Amino acid sequence: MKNRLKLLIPILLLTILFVVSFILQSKYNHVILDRTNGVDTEALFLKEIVVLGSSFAFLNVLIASIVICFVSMFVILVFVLLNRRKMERRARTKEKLNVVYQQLILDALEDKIVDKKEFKKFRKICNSRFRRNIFINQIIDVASVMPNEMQSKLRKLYFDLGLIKETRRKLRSRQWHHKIKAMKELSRLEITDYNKTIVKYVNAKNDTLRMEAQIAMVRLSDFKENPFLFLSYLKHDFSLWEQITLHQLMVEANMNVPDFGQWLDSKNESVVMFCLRMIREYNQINNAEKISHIIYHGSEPVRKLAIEIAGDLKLGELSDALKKKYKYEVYEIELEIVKSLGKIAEPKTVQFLQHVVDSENDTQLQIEAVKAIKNMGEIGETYLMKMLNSEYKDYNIIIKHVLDSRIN
Amino acid sequence: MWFFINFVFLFTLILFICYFFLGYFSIKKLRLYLKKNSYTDYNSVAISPLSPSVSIIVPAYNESANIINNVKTLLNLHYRNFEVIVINDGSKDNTFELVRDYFKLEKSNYFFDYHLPCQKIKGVYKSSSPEYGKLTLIDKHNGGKSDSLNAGINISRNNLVITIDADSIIEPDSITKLVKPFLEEKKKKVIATGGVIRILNSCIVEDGRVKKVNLPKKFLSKWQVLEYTRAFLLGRMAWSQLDGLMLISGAMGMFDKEILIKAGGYDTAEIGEDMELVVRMRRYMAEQKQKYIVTYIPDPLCWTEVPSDFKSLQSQRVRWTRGLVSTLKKHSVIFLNKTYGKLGLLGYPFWMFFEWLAPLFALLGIGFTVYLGVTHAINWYFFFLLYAFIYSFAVFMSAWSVLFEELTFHKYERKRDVLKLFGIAFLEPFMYPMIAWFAAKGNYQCAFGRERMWGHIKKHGNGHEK
Repeated sequence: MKNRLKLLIPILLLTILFVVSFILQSKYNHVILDRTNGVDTEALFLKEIVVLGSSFAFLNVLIASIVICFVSMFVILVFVLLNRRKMERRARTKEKLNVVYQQLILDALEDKIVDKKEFKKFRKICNSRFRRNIFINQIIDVASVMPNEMQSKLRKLYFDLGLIKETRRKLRSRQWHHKIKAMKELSRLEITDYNKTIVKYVNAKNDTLRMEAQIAMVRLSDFKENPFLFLSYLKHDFSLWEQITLHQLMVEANMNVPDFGQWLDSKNESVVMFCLRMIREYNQINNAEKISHIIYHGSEPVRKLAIEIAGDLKLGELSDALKKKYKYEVYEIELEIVKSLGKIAEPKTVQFLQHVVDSENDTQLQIEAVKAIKNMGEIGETYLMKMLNSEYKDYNIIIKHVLDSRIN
Repeated sequence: MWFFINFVFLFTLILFICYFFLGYFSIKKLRLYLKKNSYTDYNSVAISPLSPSVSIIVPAYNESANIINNVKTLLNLHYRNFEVIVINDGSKDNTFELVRDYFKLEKSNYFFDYHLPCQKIKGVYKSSSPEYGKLTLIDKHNGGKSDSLNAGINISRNNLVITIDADSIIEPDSITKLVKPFLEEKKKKVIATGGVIRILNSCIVEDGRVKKVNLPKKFLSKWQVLEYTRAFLLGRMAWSQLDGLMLISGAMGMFDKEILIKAGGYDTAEIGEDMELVVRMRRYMAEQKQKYIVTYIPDPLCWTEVPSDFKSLQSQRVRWTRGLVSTLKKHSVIFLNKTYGKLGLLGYPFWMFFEWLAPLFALLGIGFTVYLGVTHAINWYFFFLLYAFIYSFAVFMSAWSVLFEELTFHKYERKRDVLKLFGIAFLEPFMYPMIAWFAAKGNYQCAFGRERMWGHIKKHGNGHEK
């Protein structure tokens, strides 16, 4: 409310200036009117109007615009300078408060604050939203480096000081970025009381809100055994950015890794792709059977990723299927099949790979096929020697490229 | 006479209304970006094995002064999967030898296709040392910047390519920031991303990083700070919001290589290769009826030196005009063509009327005013009123962009620098006739043809200004 009132001041100032200039213009306009004798005053923009005295509408607009521009500029300049002062002051206050709060938090952790009076003092210094937020941030920072027992103490302090009200206010705010702030606070302090509210945002339209809700759910999930349960009811596309962020969270928080194969039949393609990536990262080879079906998926990106993962996991049982698929696929997937066969490195695919080198004109396909042959070990090397001496085609340049350790 | 006055006035009025709306859209986009960005964890993406690999392409021609430091900076960027490809475009100095020897590079047996046209590549150099494993040096015959970029793209192994100028200083987290839109977008294909280019003159640079940001000492460079802030934070931000962005700065931009190659790569005959490429890529996507976007990030990602003397400034602006005119001429089919969506209906007409023709109309207007003055046909009261209006609006827009800078990245920390920028805003409108004159020269050269060139400006080395 206070902020809105502040906004009204420049608007009011501008309106007063506008009206004053308008009244003054009627006189000024006539000076111009007198000077334009002989000029067609009916020309565009020079229509005479009778508002607060006789004047030209166009000239009025010009004068008003000049006034508005200069006043706005002045307002911007004052705002910039005041804003700088405010920012500098805030930075200084924040720095001071951080030191005070840190000491108080440490005292609380060491059970030094027993006296009610002292506690009241504690409350007093959190008397504004700005201060409360600094305090919450401090608690979170300290909590992130403390063992579980200390975290419980910090949580207790957070509740005792009524800071939860501040978080609740943000969670209920109409502004999405306030909601995110609240979710971050709740998840960092592992407060699960508001999970029902957070879960609503897992399918929010706002991308950032949705992603933060997913992260919070993974951190706060009641189902600790399966923090990724939200994947089962995720309706929106799961962007690669979200996938990377969640994966990194798993790595950093050392979470329980669920069997990602359980979502490979999801109708949400992005969920399938995320699970394929996670299966690779956590080497969940037990899902080979499911992957063998996904290499026939209707979606090209999913198919391509499944083939790539089949190679990364060295699923030798899929090499025949991959060879068969080759001629029916688009270029990008053909390339992926050749790369995967190289990673699987089954000697029985050597002939197929040589056929690729012989029959394809695309450089990248040829290079990848030769690389794949090289990966076969002794058999591959023998083949490469044979190819080097071949009279059918000059393979020299490709083989030299593949054998150059500086390139690959 | 009244027809001319009405026409010029209407033109100016529409221009101002456009600027006003651009200001509005840029605020909208900027607010959203800043809110989103405050919750973004870039580090996760920078270190993740799931992040896509990126190729950084650096064309270099006679860059011996800074090349080693700049390549070292690039090799230390905060991102997991990337390669750096430096292209020596037949430099006359020892750029090639410096890079080859410093980074212990040897000629390799690189096999590649000339997907995009470029001059013959004499050799591709790689290092046996794992320390410089990410670096590739291409030595080729001279063919210009576009030609070098094409050569780099032919050699690159990743589907995302970043093209940069060899003399630019890149922020450590710039790859992560540029890659973000490619990873975030789900419904449309992101074909290109650009970021804010900041002015390096007078800044203190240490070990290839900007350590202290200073406002340039020379007036011309200071004025360009205001111009760049307005162009990047106001103009491009708004066009990105309106989906009408036609230019990703040649100093730094990220592209989807597949679309770049399908669209034909850089046109080696073009002088304004950066703008022409973006327009062609957009045209390609629209003609293929594929949903796409060109995005823009308001973060300062790259620092570059700007001309600080009139001669260099003139040469740069003439080149920009020639590039603009050539691109508009080449892609005139886009003009008011709804097949190309907002590009055809908004972006192209804006660039045509307000970037290409506006300086010419302005010169015409100045000439006409002089004529009226000489023949005593001018109403001086009216003239001064009109001039005061144009002046106040121009100063207001500049003040607006200073406010943007203040509310966003706050790069100039000293209060007196901000006051200086405001001061420049009051003087800036008087620079416009000069800029209009440079534009006219560019148009003249376009009409009567001149050779294309690398367009080097007189530089004093990174961050120094005499």
